[in-house]
Amino acid sequence: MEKYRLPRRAFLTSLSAGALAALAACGNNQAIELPTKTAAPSGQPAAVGQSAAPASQAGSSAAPTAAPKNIPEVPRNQTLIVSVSDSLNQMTDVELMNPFITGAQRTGWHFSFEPLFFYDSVWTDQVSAPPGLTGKNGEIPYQAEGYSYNADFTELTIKLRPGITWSDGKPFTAKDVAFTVNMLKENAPKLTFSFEMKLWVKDVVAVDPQTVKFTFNNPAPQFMFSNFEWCQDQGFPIVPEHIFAGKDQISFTNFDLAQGWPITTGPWKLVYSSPDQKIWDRRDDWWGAKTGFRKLPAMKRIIVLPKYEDRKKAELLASGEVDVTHNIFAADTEVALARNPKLQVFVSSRKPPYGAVDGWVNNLHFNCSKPPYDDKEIRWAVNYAMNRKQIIEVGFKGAGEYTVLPLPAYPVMKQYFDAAQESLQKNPIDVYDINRTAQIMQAKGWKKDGEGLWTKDGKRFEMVIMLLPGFFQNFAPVLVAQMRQAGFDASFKSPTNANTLRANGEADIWLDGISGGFRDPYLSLNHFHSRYALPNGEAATYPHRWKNAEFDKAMDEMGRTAPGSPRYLELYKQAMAVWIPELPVAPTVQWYQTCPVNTAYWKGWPNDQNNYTTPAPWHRGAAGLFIGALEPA
Amino acid sequence: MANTSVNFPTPTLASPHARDRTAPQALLAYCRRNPQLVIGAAMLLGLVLVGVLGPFFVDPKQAQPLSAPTAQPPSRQYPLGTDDYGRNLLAVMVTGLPLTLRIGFLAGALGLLVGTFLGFVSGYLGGPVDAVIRTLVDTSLTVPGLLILITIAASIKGFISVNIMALLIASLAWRQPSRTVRAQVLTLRDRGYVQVARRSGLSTPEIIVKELLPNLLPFLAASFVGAVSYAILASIGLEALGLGPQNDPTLGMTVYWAISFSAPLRGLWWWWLPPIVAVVILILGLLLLTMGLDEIANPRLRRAA
Repeated sequence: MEKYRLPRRAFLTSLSAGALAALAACGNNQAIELPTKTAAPSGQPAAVGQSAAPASQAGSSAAPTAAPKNIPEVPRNQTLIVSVSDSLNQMTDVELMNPFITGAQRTGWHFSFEPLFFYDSVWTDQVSAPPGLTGKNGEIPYQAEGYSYNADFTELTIKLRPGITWSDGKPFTAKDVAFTVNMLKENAPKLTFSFEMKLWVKDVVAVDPQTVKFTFNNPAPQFMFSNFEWCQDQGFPIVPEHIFAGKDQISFTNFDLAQGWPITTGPWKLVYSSPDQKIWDRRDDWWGAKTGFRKLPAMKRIIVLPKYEDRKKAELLASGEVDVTHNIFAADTEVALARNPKLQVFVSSRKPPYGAVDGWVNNLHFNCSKPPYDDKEIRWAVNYAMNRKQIIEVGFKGAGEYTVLPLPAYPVMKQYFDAAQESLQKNPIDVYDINRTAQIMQAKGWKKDGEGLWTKDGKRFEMVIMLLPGFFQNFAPVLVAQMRQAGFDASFKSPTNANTLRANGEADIWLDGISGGFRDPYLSLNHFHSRYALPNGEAATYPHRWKNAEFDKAMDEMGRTAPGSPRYLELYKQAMAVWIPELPVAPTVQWYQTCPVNTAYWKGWPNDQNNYTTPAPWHRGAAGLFIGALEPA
Repeated sequence: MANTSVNFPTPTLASPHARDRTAPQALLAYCRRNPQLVIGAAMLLGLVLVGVLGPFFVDPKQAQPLSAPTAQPPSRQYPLGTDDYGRNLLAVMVTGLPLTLRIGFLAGALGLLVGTFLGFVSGYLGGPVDAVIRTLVDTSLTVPGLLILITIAASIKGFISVNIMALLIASLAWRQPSRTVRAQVLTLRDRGYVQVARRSGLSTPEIIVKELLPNLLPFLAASFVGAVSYAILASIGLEALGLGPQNDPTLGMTVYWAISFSAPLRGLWWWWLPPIVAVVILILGLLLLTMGLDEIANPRLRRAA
């Protein structure tokens, strides 16, 4: 019998051809026309961190080569280079510029769109806005000139600044604001930011081109601040009705360079987008300069590189190839500062903790609806096993501060830390005492096995702490070691779908941050309201799944009460008198934004002497402020 | 059915001119001809001894964070220093070396097992089965293994343990053995003793197990060392990217943590250098061992003592 013979060469040829065809079909023109030439003049560091960037980066491509040939060159000293994205080494939002769609990264929309107001979270009596802008108590009017509530906070009226235009020349009006809010309401909860719009907004109308009026379902004294005053990562942009109307809002990407999209009001136009970099060029017809509101940014180009691992970020900073990056660890900061005298940090003395305190307070989170963490005593047993001082000493090299509340340690928040003291004294969160852990565990029927780990019915107390990929690695192993010392069979993992697992209730315990409480605690504590406690299996915005009617009652009234009023403070105490003994998360550390900045090309960066914002390039509440304030060095 | 087989001379450590020697003498002679075998075995033995005897000198529990002061250079108390988490790096080495070897041996063994099976089936049966397996192997070999492994490892949603790591590596470690075993089987399947066995009524599995496999054992032994070497390199590559067992102090994960905390930039050489040296010794030892074993597997290389 003649043996069967596969035409191997023909098969492989066909396979190769098919693969090439598939590649071509999946790619896009920009991906194929990869740049080959640097945009930097000779003798200057490469404009986009080209060959000198460490190509040995584990798991990453080398830093991108340069802008494509059809993009005009801009000298390095007229270019701001930042390394910031929400994915490591490569951007995954190459053709996505709709900030309301999941997957949009902070790779430029957060400074090309503009807010109604900024809020400077680190304001002082001396500095509350960057040069050229006016601010009061942290509030910096931008697209809006002012706002007012009615007496019972059920109505909000916002006055817009006249003369604002979109990048295609169309006027920015109150109709755009009303359209954006209604679009979110109609597409809740599928679009980012939509849940709160549906929850609070009964009606929104454009009274005239410069006036928007909101009517709320319930009194909403926090509404303006939490949605339209960009502060760190809080707040959303207004989008152009004439572009977004009539589109499928769930899938509209808002990306088309040929049409000049994204259309924004900011002074930046996206001219190039690839997984390696995005290039934004200055738009000299920006409304701000034309109306005299604010002068044009000094740089002609912003190059956004992906976020890299800390080592690479430190190397790029040390070599002066980038001007600012996403947060880096204190140890890397130390190295970068030593190697590049042109680097500065927020703490102007260049001493630890180097950075500015962030609103993103890190906590050990529990799924409070599933055993074993549905038992508050078990949560306390875990809390007693946590040595916060040691976490700061080892995980942060001493450059940090632990916390006992899930609230950021801003000066304006001190009154709320003080107000919680009574409850904290009764329930001391910062006590490290593994004997108390043992007492609780033994009372629950757990016994230690031969390896010193808690066991019941032949099963160990397994504790797999979930991390977001790329986060918390500086102290997660320390926390795990502490838990093991206390008898928990602890380990950690950082799966790529950590967010989904947490949201769906498939994670039991995880590290994450809570933010929102930039000037009062409501937005941070709002994470614990029962309205978010969906059943396991359903995606929850805030996945703690803790329910307490008494806490909800206090929070509901807080949401209707003016922050800072005596009643508000009383309600806060009531809420914390419930929250602290229940301990739905174990507050762990204050997070510091450690972002060295390069003063070789640009000066005027924010710092503790000039704290008009923080130099966090990923924050929508900071990037637009400092980009516009920088001057050539 | 054993009487149907034809006995071919089994390769031995001794050359045909030294049949009068005892086994130890033959072994000694073989080692003299192949010093690389001795050196390679000594290097591997040394590493194994670190794992075996190490716990007598240092508490393996000190491989966990918070066991020592952080970032200390080598000293009398901590001969290999400590890292940023407060791990005694000597304990890390003592604990991590066996884990890395375990990944290598487990993945190598599994890869060889699967590859051998496929190679035998493909080579002996031929026809469409051979075409399918051969195409699968040839096609998969054109794609860089590390690329596939990174993709798989990054998509693992659960916990990556040492054993899962070994399974992950094994998922690709079968390709090369499959191809080489198939080639060997092709040279054997039409030989007289196989034909005799076939005509005597032996089933295909019996022929493979009783006739072909014994004749390929030396070759498989040499292939095993190569498979282990591949598996260890692949595991260290993945681990250095952070895609390994993050809770275990394997050599690759130690390198990963050192890179993550900028140990090279910060001058903490004692953190990254020892695991790299250990990896070099390990791979070099396996290479020398393979070279030394080659004479057994390849008769054309046999020389007289």
